[in-house]
Amino acid sequence: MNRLRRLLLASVLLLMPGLALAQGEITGTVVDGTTDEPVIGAQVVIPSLSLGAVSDFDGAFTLENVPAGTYIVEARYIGYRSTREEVTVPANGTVTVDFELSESAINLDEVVVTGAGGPVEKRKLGNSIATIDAASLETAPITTFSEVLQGREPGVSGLPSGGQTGEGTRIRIRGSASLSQNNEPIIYIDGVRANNGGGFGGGLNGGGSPSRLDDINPESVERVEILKGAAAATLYGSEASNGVIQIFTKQGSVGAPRFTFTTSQSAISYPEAYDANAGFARTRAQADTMSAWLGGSIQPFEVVEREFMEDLYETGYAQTYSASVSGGSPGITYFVSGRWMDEDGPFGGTEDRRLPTGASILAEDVVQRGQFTASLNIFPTDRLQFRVTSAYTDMFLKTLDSNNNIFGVPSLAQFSKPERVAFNNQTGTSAFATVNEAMQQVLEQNVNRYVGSLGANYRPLDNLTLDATFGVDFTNQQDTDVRAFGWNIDNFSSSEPNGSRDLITTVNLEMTFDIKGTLTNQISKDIDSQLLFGTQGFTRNTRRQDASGVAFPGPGFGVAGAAATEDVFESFTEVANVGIFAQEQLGFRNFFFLTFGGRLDASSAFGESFDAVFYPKVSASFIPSDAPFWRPLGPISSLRFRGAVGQSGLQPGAFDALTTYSALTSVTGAGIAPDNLGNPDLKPEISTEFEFGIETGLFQDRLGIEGTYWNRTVRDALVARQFPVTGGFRATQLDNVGEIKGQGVELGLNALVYNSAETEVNLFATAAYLWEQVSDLGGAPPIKVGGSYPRYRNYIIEGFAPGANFGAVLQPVDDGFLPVDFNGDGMPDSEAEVLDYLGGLTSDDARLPETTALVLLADDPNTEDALPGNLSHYLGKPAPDWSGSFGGSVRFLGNFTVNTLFEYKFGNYYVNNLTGAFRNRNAVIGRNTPEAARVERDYVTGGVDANGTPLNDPQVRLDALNTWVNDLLALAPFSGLNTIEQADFLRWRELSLTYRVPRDLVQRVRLRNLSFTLAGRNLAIFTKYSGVDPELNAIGRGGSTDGLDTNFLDGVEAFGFVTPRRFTFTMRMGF
Amino acid sequence: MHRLLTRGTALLCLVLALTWTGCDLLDVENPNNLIEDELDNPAAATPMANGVEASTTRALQAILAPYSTATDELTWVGSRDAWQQLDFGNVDDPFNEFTDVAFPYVGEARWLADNFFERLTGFASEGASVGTELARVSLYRAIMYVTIADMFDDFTFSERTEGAPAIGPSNMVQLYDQAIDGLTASLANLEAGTDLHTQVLAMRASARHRKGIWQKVNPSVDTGSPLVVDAGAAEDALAVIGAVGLASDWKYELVIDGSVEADLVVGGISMGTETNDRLELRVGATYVQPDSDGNQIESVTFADVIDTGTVYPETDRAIMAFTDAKRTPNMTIVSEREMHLILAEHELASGNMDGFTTHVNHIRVNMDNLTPYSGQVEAQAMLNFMRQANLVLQGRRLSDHYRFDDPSPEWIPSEDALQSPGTFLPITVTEITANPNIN
Repeated sequence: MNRLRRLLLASVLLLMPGLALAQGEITGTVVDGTTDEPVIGAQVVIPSLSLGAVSDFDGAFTLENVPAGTYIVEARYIGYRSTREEVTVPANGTVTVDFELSESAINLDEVVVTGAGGPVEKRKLGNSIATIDAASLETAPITTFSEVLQGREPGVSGLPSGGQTGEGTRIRIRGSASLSQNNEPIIYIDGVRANNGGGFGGGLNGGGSPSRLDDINPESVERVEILKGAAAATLYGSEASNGVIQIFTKQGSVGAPRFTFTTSQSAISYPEAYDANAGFARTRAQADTMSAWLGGSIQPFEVVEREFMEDLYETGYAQTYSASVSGGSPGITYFVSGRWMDEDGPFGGTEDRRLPTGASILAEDVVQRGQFTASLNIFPTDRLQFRVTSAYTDMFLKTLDSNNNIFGVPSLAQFSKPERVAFNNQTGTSAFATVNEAMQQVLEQNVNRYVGSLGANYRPLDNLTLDATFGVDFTNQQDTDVRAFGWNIDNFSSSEPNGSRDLITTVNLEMTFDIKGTLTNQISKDIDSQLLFGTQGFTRNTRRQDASGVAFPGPGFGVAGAAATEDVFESFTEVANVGIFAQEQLGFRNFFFLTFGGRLDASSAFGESFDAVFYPKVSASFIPSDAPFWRPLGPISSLRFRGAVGQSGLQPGAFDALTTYSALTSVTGAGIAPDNLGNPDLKPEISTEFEFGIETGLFQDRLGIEGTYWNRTVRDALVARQFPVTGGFRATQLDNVGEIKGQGVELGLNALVYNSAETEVNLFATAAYLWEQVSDLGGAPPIKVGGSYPRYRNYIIEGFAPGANFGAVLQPVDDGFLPVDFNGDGMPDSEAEVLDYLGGLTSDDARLPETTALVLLADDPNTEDALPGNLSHYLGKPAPDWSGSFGGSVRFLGNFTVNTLFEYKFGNYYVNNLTGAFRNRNAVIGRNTPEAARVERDYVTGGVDANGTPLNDPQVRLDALNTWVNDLLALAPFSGLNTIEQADFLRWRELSLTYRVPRDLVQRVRLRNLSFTLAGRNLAIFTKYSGVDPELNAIGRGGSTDGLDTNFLDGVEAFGFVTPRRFTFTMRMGF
Repeated sequence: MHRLLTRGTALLCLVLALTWTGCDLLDVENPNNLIEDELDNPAAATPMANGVEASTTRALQAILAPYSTATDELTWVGSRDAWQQLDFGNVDDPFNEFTDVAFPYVGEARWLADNFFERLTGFASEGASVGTELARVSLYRAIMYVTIADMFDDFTFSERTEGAPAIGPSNMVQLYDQAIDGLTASLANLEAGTDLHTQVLAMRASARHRKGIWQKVNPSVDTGSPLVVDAGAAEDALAVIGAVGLASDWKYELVIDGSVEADLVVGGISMGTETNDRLELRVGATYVQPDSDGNQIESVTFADVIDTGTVYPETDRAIMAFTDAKRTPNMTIVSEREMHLILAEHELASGNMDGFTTHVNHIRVNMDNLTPYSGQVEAQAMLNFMRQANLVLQGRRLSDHYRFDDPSPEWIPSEDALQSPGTFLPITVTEITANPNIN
C-alpha cells in the first residue's frame, strides 16, 4: 500500500491543474449518408486544437469552449470515410454543422491509442494495428469476449480447444514468440493491465477450463485494438512480444439518460461426431449376457454397436439479459451496464441411467456470469478530465471431468465396450471407473473479479497533454474438485472410495501505473512533431492456497477438514516491472510520418547479473494518395505504404533466476530437496520484428485491401533447458540460449459491393500465412512437450516449427511384403510367409501383434541429430500454414440483415488423434470403434459362419492384419504411428438474420430502436480429419500447470466434447 | 522559454516518480523456497537428513513400479501400454515412459544423498553434533546406491549442470562397495543396539549379499551356479538377528502415510497409486486371483510350495498390506526374513544343508507356522520360492528370475528378458538427451 500511496502522490505532482478560457461552441449531427440513420459514437474533432466530442444516440454532438476563429472540423467513425468541414466559430456564439458519412472499406483516419502513447490516426503509424468495432458485431452470435476475437483479424487465432460449456479459448497472435513463457498476448482494459490467465488452479482438468478473458462483459466493449507483435508493442516492454490486446469499454456521452435492454435465448446441441462403441462376445455365455443387457439375440463374434457417448447428450439452454444506461451533462458523463447470463449446456447424462437407490447424477455443465460495469468521466475544465472505470464479474462454473483424464466422463464413455456391460457397469467400461461413477464427480469454479481504474488527463498548454492512469485487476478464484463419500456407486473404482475434496484458491492482483506526456510542436510549415514521454509499470502478485482432504468419515461432509488425510499447499509469486519510454513522431505535410523511440525496462525477474533492457523502435508511414504530387492511378482512391521495426521482450518467471531448495517431508519430519537450479545471468528474451504493409482503397474506397509482411526473430530466447537429471535437479532451468524465427503474411479484403437505402452487400476475407522455426536451442537438448508421456508427440527441436510432431513410421516394404516379422528373422515377411503363419493360428491363440519385435518400424531417420531412436520421424506441425475467415453481410428490404462468417485452417495442419489411437489400438480400453472391433474379431476368428463359429481363414486374418498395421496400430511403442493426420477444415462459424423494426414504428411505442436476431454458431464443419473435431485440444484453455504444455501441446485431440452448435434468438431495444 | 520550462519540469517529475517508486517496486519476496546459502548452517542438518529420507522414499516408490512390472509381481490392466511392454520383458527401452519418469527421481535422490552427506561430513569435521543425521544420510545413500546397482545396467553421476559419462556396466559393482564403505563408517560411530545401528547393519548385510547376486547376473547370468556365498553378509545378518531377536519378524521400512503423501507419491508412476488407486497395474496372476473385472485382487492365491493348500502367509500379508495402503504403501528395505534368507543361501552355497534348513525353518515354522522344510523340494528351488514369497514387491525379483532361470510368465520370446537374460533398466532418454557424455 505504501508503494501505491507514493505512486498516487507522484501522479499529483505531474497533474497540477491550470486555467483555460472558452468562447464559442459547435453543434450538429452525424448521419449515415445512405440510410440517414444517426451514427452513434462518431468522433468530431478540431485537429488544430486537439478538441473533440462524440456523437450521441441521435448522432448529435457539441464542441464547447471553442475559441473564436475558423477551423477544419472532422467527423470520423470506424467503417466510414472521414469528412471535413470548414467552420467559423463566433465569439460567444454557436455554429451548426452536420456531417453525412459515407461507408468506406478502408479508413486511414481511424484514431487508435494502443502502442502509440496517445490518440493518433492510423495513417501516422508505420506498424499495423487491428481494430475490432463491437458495434459491427452486434448481431453476431457472441456470448463471450473470446468470441469477439475469434476469426476477426488475420494473424489473430482463437484456439477453442473444446466444446464444454464455459470452456475458454487460447489466443495466439502471429504464432508463438516464446519457447517457454506464456504465449498469450497481454491484455489491457482501459489502460489497466489485466489477468490474461485461464484454466483451473493446479491444472485440475483440461476440458471445460475457462478463460479469464471471458470475465469481460462483451456488451460493455466499445472497441478492441490489437498490436500483433514487437514492432508495434515496443512501448509495452518486457511482456509484449506476443502482442497486446487493449479493450476499450463504452463511455457515456452528453444527453438525457439512454437505456438499452438486450435478451438472448439459446438452444445448444452437440453434433453426432463420435464413432459408436463396438465389441463382440467371444463365447456363447458372454453373448447371452450381452443379449440380456443390450437386448436382441446376440451371437458370439457378432460386432455390436452402441452410442454410449451420444447417450450423454441433451439440448442445452442459455439465457442472457443485459441492460445499460448512459448519459451526462457537459461536466460529467456516465455509462452503467449489467449483464446476467446463465447456461445449462448440452451435457445431460441423466436419462435412463441405472443407479443404485438414492444416487443421482451430480455432474453438470453450467456457467453463470453476472457482469457489471460503470464508467464516469468528469470535466472540471475543458483542459482537465478525470476518468473512473469499474467492472465487477461474479462467475460460477460447474463442469465435469473430461479430456485426457481416466476419470473423465467422455473418456470413460468412449472406453466403454458393449461386451463388458453389466448391471453395475451400464456402458461396459474396462478400467478406472464406470461412467455413472465418473458423473458423481463435481468440478466447480467461483470467481469474483474487479477491474478498476482512475485516470486523469490534463492539458496545461495547448500543445502539452499529460495523462495518468492507475488501475487494479483483482481476481479471487476458487476451484473445487469433489468426490462425495461413496462416489464409486458401482463399486468399480478403487480411487478414493470415501471421497475427496480439493480446494484451490488463487488470488491474483495486478496493479498498473501509466504516466505520460505528449508535446506537439509545429517545427516548420511542413513538419509537425509529437513527442511522447512517460513511465509505465505493473506489479503482479499471485497467491495460491490449496487444501485437500481424502476419505470422509461418512456422507454429507463437504469440507476438506473433515477428511482423514489432509494436505495444504501455499505459494506466492510476485513480479514487478517498471519502464520509461520516449517516442518522437514527425509528420511531413500529412502524408509522410516517421516515428522513433524506445523503452528502458527493469524487472524483478531478471537475474542478479542483469539490470535493465532497452527496446528501440522506428517506423514510417507514407500515404502517396494524400501527397500533393498524387495523380489518379486507375481505380486507386487511397494508398499507403508502411514499415516498422521494433523490439519487445518476455521476461522470465518470478523466481527463475534463483537456486532454491523446496520442502520435502518424510515421516521423520520436515526436509529439504532440490528445486530450482538457478541462473544469475537470466534476462528477458528479445523479440525483434519488422513489418512492411500496404493498404489501398479502390473505387472510392469501396474496396479495401490490406497486406502485411512481418518477420520476427527472438534472440536470447528463454529455453527451459533440461540438464542431466542425475545431476540432482530434475526441473528444467531457463537459459537465454535459444532463437526462434517467424514470418508471415496477413491479407485483408473488405468490399462494399452494393449499397442503397434498402439494400447493402458487404463482403470480407482474411488470410494469414505463418512460418515458424526453432532456429537455435543453444546446445540444449530437444524438448518434449508433455514430459515423458509418449502419446504426446510435440517437440521443440532445432530446424522445425515449435510443437512439431515426431514419432514412428512403419518400415517400408516391397510389394507383396508386410512390415511384420513372425518368423523372427528380423526381416519383413512376405504375404505367403504371413499367410502360412496365420494359417496356424486358432481363435484361442490369435492375438493382434503389438510389439516392435513383430511389427517392424523404420529406423531412426537421422542418427546424427539430437533426437535419438526410431520415434523421431517428422509427422507434421500443429499450426497451419494458412488460417483466416471470410463472409459478409446482406441488408435487404431495408430492415433485414444476414451476416455470416466462415473460418478455416489449411496447409500442413496436423492433429494428433489420440482419441482414435486409444480406441483403435488399446487392448484393455480400446479396440471398440466399429472398424477396430471388426479387425480384432476377424484376426481372432479368421471369419465366422452364421452361428458365430470361427472359420480360421488365413486370408481373412491377413486382411485384418493389413488394416491393423496400416491404419489402427498406435500408442507405445509405436507412438505417433497411425495417429497424427491432416486436419484442414472449413467451419461455418456464424450465421445471423436480423430484423430492425423501422424507426417510425419503434418511436410510436416510445422506443429508440428495436431489433430481433436469429443466429446460429458452429453450424457445420467441412474436413477430411477422421477424428471427432480438429479444433479440440487436450490441454484446454490452460488446464496444465506447465507453461510448455500450455504453449505447445497443440493439435492433440483427446476425449473432449465436440464443439456444440448454438442457436440464439436475441431482442435488442433502446429507449 | 515557457515551453522549455514546462517540458523540463515534466521530465524532472517523471524521473523523480520513477526513482521514487521504481526501486521499491523491483524488490520482491520469495517465501516459497530456501536459497542455497542457508544450507551452510549446521542447524539445517536434521531437515537435510529428512530430505534425503523423503527423496529416497519417493525414488523407490517411483522406480519400483516399472521394475516390478517387468517381473511377475505386477501386471498391466489399464490404459497406458508402456506398462505392457515391461510385462512383455522389454526391460531395456530407454523410451519407456514409466522408466523415464522414474529415472530422474532416482538421480535426484542419489545426488541429494551425496551432496548432503558431504555437507554433513563437513559439519562433523568442524565439530558440529550431527552424528545421527550423518548416519541416517549414509543409510539412505546406501539404499540408493544399492538400488541403482540392483536395478540398472549402467548409471551416471552428474553434478548439477555438468553431465558425467556413464560409469560402465562392469563398474556398477563398485556402487555396492561404496555403499558398504559408507555403512561401515557409520557403524563405527553408532551405538550398538540402537534402531539406527540395526538398520545400518542390516543394510550392510543386504548390500553385501546383493553384490554377490549382481556378480551372478553380470556380465552374464550364471544359472549353473546362482548362489551367493558371502561370509561378511552372513556375519552381519547373524548380528542383526541377534539384535532384533529371533522370529521377531523385524522389518525396516521406508514409510509413506497420509501426512507425506502429497510430497512423496509421484502421480502416474508411484507403485501404490498405479496399482491401488488408478488401477493401471495389478499384482500378477502368479500371486492373486483377480476380481471379475480383472482390475483388482479378489484374493491372494500364492500357495506354499510344501503346504500347497495354504496361501503363503507373508505373501498374503505383504500383498494385502500393500493393497490396503492404497496410495501410501510402506516399502520394506531390510528385514529379519531377508537376514535368514541371506544366511540360508550362504549355508546352501557353502554346502551346509543343515544351516540352510535351519534358517529356512526359522521363517517357515517360527514366523509363518508352516510345515518345516526337510527336503520336500530341491533346496535351490526352495530358496527361490522363499525369496519370492518373503521379499515380494521389494525390488529383488528380476535378478532371481534370471539367476534361478525362472522367467515371468508374461515375458514373450522376442523381448529382452528372454533374449538377453540379465538385462536391467537402462539410462533413459531424458538423461541421454540432456547429458552430452551419454550416447
